[in-house]
Amino acid sequence: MSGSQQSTPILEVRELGVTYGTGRSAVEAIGELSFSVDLGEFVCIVGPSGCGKTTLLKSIAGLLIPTRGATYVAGKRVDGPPKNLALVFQEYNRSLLPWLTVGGNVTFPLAAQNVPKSEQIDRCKAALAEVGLLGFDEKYPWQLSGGMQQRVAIARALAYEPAVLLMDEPFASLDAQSRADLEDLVLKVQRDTGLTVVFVTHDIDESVYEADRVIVLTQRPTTIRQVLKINLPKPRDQITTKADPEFVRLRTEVLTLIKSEGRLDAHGE
Amino acid sequence: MMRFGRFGIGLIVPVVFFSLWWVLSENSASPYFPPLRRTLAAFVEIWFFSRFFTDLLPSVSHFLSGLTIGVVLGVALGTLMGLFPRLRRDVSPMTEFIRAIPTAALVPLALILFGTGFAMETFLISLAVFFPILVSTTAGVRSVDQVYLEVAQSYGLSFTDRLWRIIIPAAAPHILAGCRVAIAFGLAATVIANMVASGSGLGFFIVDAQTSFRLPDMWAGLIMIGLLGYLANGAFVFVEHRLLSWHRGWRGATRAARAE
Repeated sequence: MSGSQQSTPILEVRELGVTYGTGRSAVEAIGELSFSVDLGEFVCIVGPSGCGKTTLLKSIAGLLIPTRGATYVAGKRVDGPPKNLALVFQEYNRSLLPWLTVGGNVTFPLAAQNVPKSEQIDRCKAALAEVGLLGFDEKYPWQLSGGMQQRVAIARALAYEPAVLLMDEPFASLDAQSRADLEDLVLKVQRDTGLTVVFVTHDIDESVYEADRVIVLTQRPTTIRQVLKINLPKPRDQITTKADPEFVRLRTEVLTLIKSEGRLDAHGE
Repeated sequence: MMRFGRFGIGLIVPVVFFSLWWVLSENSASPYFPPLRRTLAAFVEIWFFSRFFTDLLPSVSHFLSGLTIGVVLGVALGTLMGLFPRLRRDVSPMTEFIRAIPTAALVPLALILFGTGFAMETFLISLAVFFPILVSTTAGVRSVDQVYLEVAQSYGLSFTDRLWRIIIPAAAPHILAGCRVAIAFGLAATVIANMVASGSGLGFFIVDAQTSFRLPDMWAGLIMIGLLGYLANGAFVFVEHRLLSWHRGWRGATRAARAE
């Protein structure tokens, strides 16, 4: 599929297929998907409405057992949530626990793993600093704006110190300004940490702006329509990158591919 | 500001009530409605001295132990029923059946099982407390947001961690709403258990005072029961306020976001 002979893939999806239900009511969500993601790569996954992007992400995250095939993280077959992978959900207001403070939300996965208290505090501080929320640990998530809440969710994922960061349409319910800020934040985080990021989105501009590679999916039953290498210069910038003729060409190409597949996904799945 | 206002009203009404009672009853010649002055004198004598250890303390301690047992068992079984739909289907016809029987009707059974005294009263009180807690805990656990559970799962939380870090806190508003009802039920059960089947306790005391025509004592008993209920509820509100301050803030924020 995607040529990666020289570098080691951290994530591999091999002949993945997901069918919901059985018999006549069976719905084939994912037909067959195979791709791999290299260490430190930023991959965006886009596709038409209802194409099983979330299903794919849940299979990678170990929240859903696929019907056929498998996914591998660092060479290990995923049969439950992998330890070296963290997931950022779209619904930031439901993925943060309202009875815990920002600090509590960032550290509870660490506490559950019996990470020593002092290390929890250090990792929490570092993660909050990385997302620009240092000093917010005593606040409750519901006291913060949507964009800040999603930053907390990202900080929680970072403090977990995963090898792969999965993001499921993380900015879909944010206003345009917060979305642009967070797009840049994720790029900065990726640059600082060298994390591998797999980013599902329905926003074509966002996918081209963020990614090293964009994987375009087909309608159900989902397969890969095309993989595009994004060779835009880094660090990227909301103004200059988006005015780059190469950016415009790529976004048009992705848009054309998706339009030929059907309706654009406006509301997630 | 608002809390002060509510506190003020909460104080003014009883003060007015008891003042009126005092003044209107002062020259009462009716043996059924003795002057409040005499009732209060009896109240102090009885509850601070003569009956403190024999009646007040046993009632309070039975109430508290019954409440504790009922809450612990109710939360435990309610959590299991909330988590496992099969268990809920199999067990709930039975719990609904027992729940429908008034506590007073269970007194004879409790007497056969435990005789009179601590065990029998605690049994009745915990049973009365158990059901409202069971129902509210089951509902609370069932309504835990699916996304919280997916977050917990994706971060590899064990079942115990999921239970204590996610499910119980998320269900806490429901559980505490059940506790409020349970406290009232528990107090009623305490008085009933005393009245029907003991030789001591608050319920016994007011019946005994009435039958031996010590009517100021009976009134003093009523005031004490009211006071206990008031204090129990006050203690509950105090605890709830601390445990659920996040819930008020979160609900307010959610509502504001929806109105936007």
